[in-house]
Amino acid sequence: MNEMEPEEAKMDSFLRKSMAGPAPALSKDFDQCVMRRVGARSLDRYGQVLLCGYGLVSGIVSAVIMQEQGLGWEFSVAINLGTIGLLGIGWSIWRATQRAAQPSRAE
Amino acid sequence: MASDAQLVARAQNGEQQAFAELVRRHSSRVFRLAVSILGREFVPEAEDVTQEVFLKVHHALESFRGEAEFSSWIYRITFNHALNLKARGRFRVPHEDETVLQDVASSQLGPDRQAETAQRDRVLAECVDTLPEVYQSTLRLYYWLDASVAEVAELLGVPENTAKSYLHRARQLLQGMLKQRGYSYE
Repeated sequence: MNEMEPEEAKMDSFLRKSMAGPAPALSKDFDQCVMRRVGARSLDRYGQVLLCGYGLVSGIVSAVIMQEQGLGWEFSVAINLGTIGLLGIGWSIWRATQRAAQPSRAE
Repeated sequence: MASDAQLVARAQNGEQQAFAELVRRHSSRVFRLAVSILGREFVPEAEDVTQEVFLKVHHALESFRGEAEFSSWIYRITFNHALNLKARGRFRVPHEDETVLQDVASSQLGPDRQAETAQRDRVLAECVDTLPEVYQSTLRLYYWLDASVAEVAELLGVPENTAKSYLHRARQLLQGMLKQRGYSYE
């Protein structure tokens, strides 16, 4: 930094004075907050795995029952896929409304 | 002491304690980078950004292959995340910079001189806000957060000479802007 022209050196010293101020710091419990949120997210993932497992098993069971009742495989596959599709659409709409409703701290 | 690479490998295997150590090790610098991008009026928002960055990192940790340093990877995520938020227009300066008001209140100068200094600092802050983002961040890190050129370079992911040239160019641009507005900087 010692190769500065005189004008630039003046600007350097001006910036040192004008931009100086107390440096902010993270709140003391920041690390714990992050780890709490990380933990909560892991539980969410565990819940998702459980839900997927439950959905898969119930889909297979319902397909077998429908088969035993004399309904064709095409019908049971269509019913299961249709239900999954409806759930997916509902979930996407719910996520979109949640995101839209999120308040902005800076506004 | 375990290296970042060792901690990342352990965290990838689900060891929460290893991830907690990565958070402890890098949170302060991630926060400094975030606040240097958002500006001094947005310290709480910079803390939110820091938290979101670590959640993103935790989510994407499995895809991290270690081709780059963990620190470079996390600083890049921080830079992009903070910049995206800023680009959405949520981070406009809402009021007079508090430090300017504090300076006015506590200064030993006479009232006229105080007002003049406050006005000049406000104009400087406006000029800084119009610089390219990378120059703004460089200036805030170096002059406000007291980072060395080496630290600026590391946080921005550029060589030290590039960080020096950012500083040089930013000072030149500010000289021109202040002169154009009729302010001296002596």
